[in-house]
Amino acid sequence: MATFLQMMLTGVMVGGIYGLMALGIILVYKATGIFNFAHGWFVLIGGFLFWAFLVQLGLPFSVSVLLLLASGCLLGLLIERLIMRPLIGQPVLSAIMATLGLAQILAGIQTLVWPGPGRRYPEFISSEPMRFGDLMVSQQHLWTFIICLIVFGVFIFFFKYTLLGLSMRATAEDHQLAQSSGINVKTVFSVTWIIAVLMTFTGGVLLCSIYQVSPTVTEMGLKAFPAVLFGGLESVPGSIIGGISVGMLEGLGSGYLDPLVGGGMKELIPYIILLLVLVIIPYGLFGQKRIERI
Amino acid sequence: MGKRTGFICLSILFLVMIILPIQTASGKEESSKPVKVTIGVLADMTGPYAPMWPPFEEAFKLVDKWLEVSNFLPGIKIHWMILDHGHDAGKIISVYKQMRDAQAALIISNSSIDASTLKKMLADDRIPMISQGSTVTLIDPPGWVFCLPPLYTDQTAAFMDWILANWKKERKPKLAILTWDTAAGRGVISPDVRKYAKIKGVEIVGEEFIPRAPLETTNELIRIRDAGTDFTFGVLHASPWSVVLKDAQRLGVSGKIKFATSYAINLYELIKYAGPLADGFLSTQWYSSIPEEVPTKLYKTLGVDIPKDPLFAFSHGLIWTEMIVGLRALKITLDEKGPKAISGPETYKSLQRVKNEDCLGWSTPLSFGENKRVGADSVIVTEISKGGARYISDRIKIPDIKAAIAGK
Amino acid sequence: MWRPGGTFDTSYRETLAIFRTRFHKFMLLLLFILLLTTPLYASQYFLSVLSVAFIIIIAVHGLNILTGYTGQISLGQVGFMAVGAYVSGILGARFGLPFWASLPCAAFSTGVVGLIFGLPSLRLKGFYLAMATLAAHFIILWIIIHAPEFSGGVDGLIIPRLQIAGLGMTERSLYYVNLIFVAGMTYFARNLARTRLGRSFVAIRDNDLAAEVMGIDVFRYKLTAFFISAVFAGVAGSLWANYLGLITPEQFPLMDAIWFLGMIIVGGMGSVLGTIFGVVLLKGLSEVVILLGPMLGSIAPALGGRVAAAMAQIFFGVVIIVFLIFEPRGLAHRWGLLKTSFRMWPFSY
Repeated sequence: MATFLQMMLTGVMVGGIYGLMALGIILVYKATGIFNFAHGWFVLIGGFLFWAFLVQLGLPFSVSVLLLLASGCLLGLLIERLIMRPLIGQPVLSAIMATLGLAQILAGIQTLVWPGPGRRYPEFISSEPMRFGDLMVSQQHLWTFIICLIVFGVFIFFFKYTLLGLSMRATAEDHQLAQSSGINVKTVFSVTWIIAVLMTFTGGVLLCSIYQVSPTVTEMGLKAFPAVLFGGLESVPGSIIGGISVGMLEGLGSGYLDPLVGGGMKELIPYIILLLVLVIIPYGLFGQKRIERI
Repeated sequence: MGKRTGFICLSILFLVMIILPIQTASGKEESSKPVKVTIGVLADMTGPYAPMWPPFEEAFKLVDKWLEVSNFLPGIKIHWMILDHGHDAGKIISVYKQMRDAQAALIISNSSIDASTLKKMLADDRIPMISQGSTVTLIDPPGWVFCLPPLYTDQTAAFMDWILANWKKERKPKLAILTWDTAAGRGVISPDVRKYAKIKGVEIVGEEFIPRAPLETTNELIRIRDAGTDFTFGVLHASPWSVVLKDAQRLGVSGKIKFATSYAINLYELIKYAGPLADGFLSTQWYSSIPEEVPTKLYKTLGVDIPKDPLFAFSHGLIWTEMIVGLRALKITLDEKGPKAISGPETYKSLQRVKNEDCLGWSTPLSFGENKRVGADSVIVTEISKGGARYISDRIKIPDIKAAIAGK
Repeated sequence: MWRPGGTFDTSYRETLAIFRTRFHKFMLLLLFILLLTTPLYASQYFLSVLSVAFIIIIAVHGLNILTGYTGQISLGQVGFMAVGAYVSGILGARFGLPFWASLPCAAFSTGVVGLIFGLPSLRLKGFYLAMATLAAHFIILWIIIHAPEFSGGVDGLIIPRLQIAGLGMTERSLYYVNLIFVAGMTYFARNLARTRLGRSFVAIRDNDLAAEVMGIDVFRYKLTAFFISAVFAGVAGSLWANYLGLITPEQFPLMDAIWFLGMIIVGGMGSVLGTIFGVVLLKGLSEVVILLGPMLGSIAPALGGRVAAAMAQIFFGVVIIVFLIFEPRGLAHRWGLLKTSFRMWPFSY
């Protein structure tokens, strides 16, 4: 039993990060209909920028955090202005392809500015494990999870109770109607991208603090995709549930199935379960249902 | 910009893309003294192995300098064609064909995918390749790819031999395979290795495959712990290793299990990431990847300081060994047949005659032969302790697994 | 299906025809002759670029049929290519079947695999389906890696190459083999568009509810689309295995599947010409970028090779974005406009 709980616990905590990244994708999709393929590369740039502030420039921790948030806002703004705005009204697949081009640019920037082997942050979360009875919990995982929950909480509060959040929800429903009600849809797009980038940067920094700052994290960014679809492409609470589920499934799946099939289950299980779930519930757990009979 | 301007730009781009490849395609011949010999270097500067590239680039420059200073190949000027392929099969082919059209006499490979993608083409075009990594399909049937390191399975077997030579207890030693879920990682274990373990008396108690970018490895370590493992062996880079070592500490197995890996890891990188958790870590090395064993005289003759960052030894060593083996083969052709005779097929023949090459002190003796495409014949077990690394064994000869299975 | 204004057909035959004017036929013949004679003056490098491009064109035709005509977004095309390559490879290496036999077997079995992974399309739409196909990709590669007795696992599989009358294959002859196949498959794809099957696909893409109401069995045709597109991928995979002689799972990364999607978007979805444009553009761009690297390096030697490679990558991304901003409908659309403007000259606007 203890092993089961241990596996599940670690999985859940790792799932928090997936959830955060999933939220970034879902936000953009909800507001603009664009599925952001450059996601993994935002994670990468976020991780590297934070490293640059903290280690390369040697700035104190709080200043680095503020600078990271500021650069996230700047990046989101730039992306929306330069790339997405000209593509408003065009077929949505073109915008998605543009995110692919963006991914290449970000990858090139990373190779250019920060070449060489992966880096590490100086430890700002101690790696001493904590005991809860039989379970050993890594402090790094725990704090990461708590930060993710806090970010979620703040965001959901913003989304539900502030005027800007309301405009975002309205725009997500219907662009035309929102525009006619006086909401500046373009501003909403900018804000959406900015928030998505900020979320992804946060997720990226947390990810890199556990693993390391190197181009391999783009593959971890890929793990967010099953999390997104699990919870449903249009659902904000779905993203965290999706993320945690994927984390849990990874943990349990690799725990019980690996010895049977010779390993590699950790990467495969989320996709298999996703496939099965989607066949039963075609729009993810909380996605918008379209009622059709075909 | 109107539609028309946009269209003109697009059509110009289109034409450029069609004309450019044709233009640059023709290889140019220069007949001037000294004779120009092209060596093609396949580099991954933008793909998953890009982080390893900058120290490689440094090392190539050092080799070039050494060639000048030592006049190793008199009458020859090496033209380096270093091209990026980003770990993409299509690009690898294009880049290789450019080297072929430039009449390269030798190709140097720095990642496993290019060797396997190009094996047949190399044989068709008759250009040999020296590869930093070895897999079964590269060396068997013997073709135009020459691999320097021993096969991963052979290293596992050598490690088992070392365990047995130093094992004092009554019961059989328990070995678990703890390795990466990638091509290299899965290369350490095979049915032959399992049979060898049985014959020699080593109990393989588990096989765990860590995903490429793990955030935690709890399950794998729990299973290894519960099986009572003494040693683990595998291939894993420093980053996932640090995650494993941290989880090991958390789960309480740190002192009890000896973790080991094959040569593909930069030990000092692990020391940097895991700190004191890395003590006791073992590794099988076929070249001097730690600064303690680097031939420092070489750097002095070049008038270059030993780089301060201890991570350099890993990358520089790989390039030095590749290049010296290749240059030695070129020298064999040069001495016997003169500079104009250097070509792909000649280099191929000469490479097979390279014997007991220690690469100016960088590696264990490397030899090739008519059907032998793996250079290294022995490994040395290295241990990390107190923030440094040192050799803790003599050269362990790579056992002949097939003979052991057949004979006994 | 594009029709410039001012053209009228006077018979049913004309409506269906692929080559609509004599000029069209002539130009196509010219292109074909050009391609046939390329090996005479082009370098090995150029031939190999074209060979690989041909193989990719075949695979992307398959994707175009599935995504462009039938509207089912699929990220599994590279996985299906891997199936084709490995089946053809295993049949050749382990069972000794010659190329002419293993290619159709591989194509057919890939089609069946595509059919199986197309089953979710009954319930899933849009990005959900895309993710299901993504799952297909991972599952396929996982199976390949975990069956080393058949597939050689991660070490790869060595495949005997096609032999004609006992003669081995050179770069040139492989080029011709690939050329023949790409010509054939392109014709097949183009032909598909004007058959009843092709029209049903388009109907499903445009409004599947209306299509069902009109009597098109949507489920059956969706599965057929998956089957056909996977057959294309299987042929491409088989040719790839033959061309390289050694296949490993690393040669089929996921990013390529996303790039395939990009190629049909950039070239123009739903048109055979579009996929050719898309592949030529993106592959050509990546070649230009490779060539650009050393050129930048030689202009300013202070910049290492790495800097040049990174700048080249950035350049690649920028060109794609610029391209999409100027022509989001794809190159084929622009080509159609160009033809129209020539025809209507001097009234083009």
